[in-house]
Amino acid sequence: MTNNEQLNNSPGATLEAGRPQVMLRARGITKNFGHITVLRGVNLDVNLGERVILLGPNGAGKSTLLRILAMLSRPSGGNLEIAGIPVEETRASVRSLIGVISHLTYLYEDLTARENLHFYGKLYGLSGERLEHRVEELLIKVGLERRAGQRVRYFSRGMQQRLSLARAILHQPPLLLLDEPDTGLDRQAAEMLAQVVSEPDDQGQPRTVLMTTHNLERGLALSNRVVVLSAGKIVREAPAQRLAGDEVQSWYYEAIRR
Amino acid sequence: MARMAKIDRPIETGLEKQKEKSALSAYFRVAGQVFLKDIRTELRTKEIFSSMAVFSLLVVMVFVFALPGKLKEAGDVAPGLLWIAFTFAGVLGLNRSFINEKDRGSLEGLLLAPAERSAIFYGKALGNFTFIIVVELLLAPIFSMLFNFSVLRLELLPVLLLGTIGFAEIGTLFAAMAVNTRAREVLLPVLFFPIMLPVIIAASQSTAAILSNRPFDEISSALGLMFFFDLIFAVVPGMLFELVLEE
Amino acid sequence: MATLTKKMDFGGGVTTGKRKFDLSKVLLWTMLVSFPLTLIFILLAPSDFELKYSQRIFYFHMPSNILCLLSFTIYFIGGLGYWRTRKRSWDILMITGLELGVFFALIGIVTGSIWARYAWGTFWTWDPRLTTVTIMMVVYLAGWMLRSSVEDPGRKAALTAVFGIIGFINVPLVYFSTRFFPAGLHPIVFGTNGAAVALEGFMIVTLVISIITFSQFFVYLMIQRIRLENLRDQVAGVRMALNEDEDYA
Repeated sequence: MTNNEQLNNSPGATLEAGRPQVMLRARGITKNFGHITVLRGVNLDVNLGERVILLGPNGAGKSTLLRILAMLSRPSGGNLEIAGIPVEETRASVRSLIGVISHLTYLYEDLTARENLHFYGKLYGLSGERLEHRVEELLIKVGLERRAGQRVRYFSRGMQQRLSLARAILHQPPLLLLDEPDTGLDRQAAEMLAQVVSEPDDQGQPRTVLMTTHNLERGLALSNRVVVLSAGKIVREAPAQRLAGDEVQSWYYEAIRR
Repeated sequence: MARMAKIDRPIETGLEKQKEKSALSAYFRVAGQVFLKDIRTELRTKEIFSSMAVFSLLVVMVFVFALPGKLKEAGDVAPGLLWIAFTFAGVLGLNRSFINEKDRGSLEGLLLAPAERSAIFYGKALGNFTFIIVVELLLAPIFSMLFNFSVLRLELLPVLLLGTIGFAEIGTLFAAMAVNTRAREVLLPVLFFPIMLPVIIAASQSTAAILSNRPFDEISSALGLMFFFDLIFAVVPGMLFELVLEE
Repeated sequence: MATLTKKMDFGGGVTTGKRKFDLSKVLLWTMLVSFPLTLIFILLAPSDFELKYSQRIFYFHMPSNILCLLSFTIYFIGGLGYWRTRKRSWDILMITGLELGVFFALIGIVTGSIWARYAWGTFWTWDPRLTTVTIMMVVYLAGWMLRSSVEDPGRKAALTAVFGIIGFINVPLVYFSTRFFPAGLHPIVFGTNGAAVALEGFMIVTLVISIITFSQFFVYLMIQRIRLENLRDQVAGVRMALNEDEDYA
């Protein structure tokens, strides 16, 4: 099967009318050290506006793959393109296209909510009024505008997660990578996560999302394509709509047992 | 695949507009922001500063109690003791600088920033340099008082600066390494002391020479060594920092 | 003929009866000759005029110090290689340099202090070379500690590489800095009978033979150490494959 056919057969391509725009293209991504192999040739295309959920048993390499895509880790082999830009050439600047949410909040406890957002905003080159405006807008969006002047140390876990959500979309990244984002989320934060993931970004473009999760139900609700990783390889792919209820469970467990 | 790329419409990222020119400004921006953030956090919590100051004070007091007879000939031991106090205090502060980043995963947040990783190193090193030098400048008069032997000489300033720059460079790199290991607090001094030996020797020897009013010729080569050390390790850790932080 | 083709099919090569060249075995045999030879030469070598019999420890001391420095260089080269390529093979080279370095530094320091006891009347002196070798050993040990406190193999290699590169660059600085010790710190002023030992012809021959033997030993240990690490990797690979079967069978 050529890449072309593969892409056209993939559900993402059929979702979008017309030609697909590839947000993320991974070809033959491997990660190994000596004889220890974590990823053995992962090919993955995520089109603009697609929301892909990555499933798989522990140790399948989900986190490793996500970390490679976020450029926190270097692959041993393979090619990676983000928004059509080869990552190897411009590692540093391509990072501004990515927003990452993980179970860690990345926040500084002794800075206030506002200071945290200002700090991360400046790292991404926002400044002046644009930054002010963006920070206030996001604080309202995640419902923390009244507590913006308080240190994050005194925030509840759910509030920290909401602030972390704001941090991740601060620089309006077209691609969101979510590494088990629902660990320790309260109801409010979970709803907010769902909202952020499914709504279009501020330029009206649909968000492209790749996520791993342990919460199968919530993950399926948020995504429109399921990719199953097992022993460092993609073993199955299917559109999320085709999978419903118990069928998913059995399909999922069958897939990871292959 | 090449054919596919042609079919795809390019996605508007705005990256094309900001290219080469902004890479450098992004670098300085990230380094500066990391530095300012550390200073701001420290001004608020005084965590690193207070632990360093209290610890170095205790070290000096232990010397006073352990060497009561030597106080009369303080000129012989004072330079060495002063640098021992600085070294220990420095290690303590350096240890905190990355442990704070690790707790909520904020180090990872920094790694996502769109700039070369060494920018983080230089921002952190500048912050550590500031913390250590402030503690040193505060400790010197207290030291002079307790030992009844003044080490407050303007000529010592270059020695202090050269020595502390070396501390901050190597210390920041090794602190970033130690934070990713199991025995993180213990490991830093084990890595740090053997490498810092040239600086500690050169700094305490030149301090001794200055305090006993020996001519400048005697310390010029020691200062030169420290300058050389600082110069080499201003460049090398920056090159290696990416390797320290990636997986 | 039938057996030959069979062999070729399953052997995957034309290794019909011909043994593969194995340097470590060759070294084992040559060492069997050169070790006794070295000992004989050391015993026959003339005694030093002032140091008498004790001078003979020099034939152990100097080769191990040279090899200690060589190990550090190997560690450094491995570190540079790993920095450029992130390849496991460079990591293995680093481990080899690191561990052999500890071994030969220890021999160098112990023989050195025994020598110092007879030559200068003290076991220890902060002479520049002695200090440098000691610091090298401390750096090796710290590198070892660093390695053992990291779990992830990739990170283990990365941190070892960084420390090795910094440590190696630091060696000349340490050597230079020990000159700032004021003369009073030296327990005995040496020079006449210490550093400058007048070696006569037979002594030089003995020294050369000793260095050759030590180097053979060094290369032998290196080969075996690299093999051991490769075997460990294979075991890890097999174990991983087995675990996968357990989990998803």
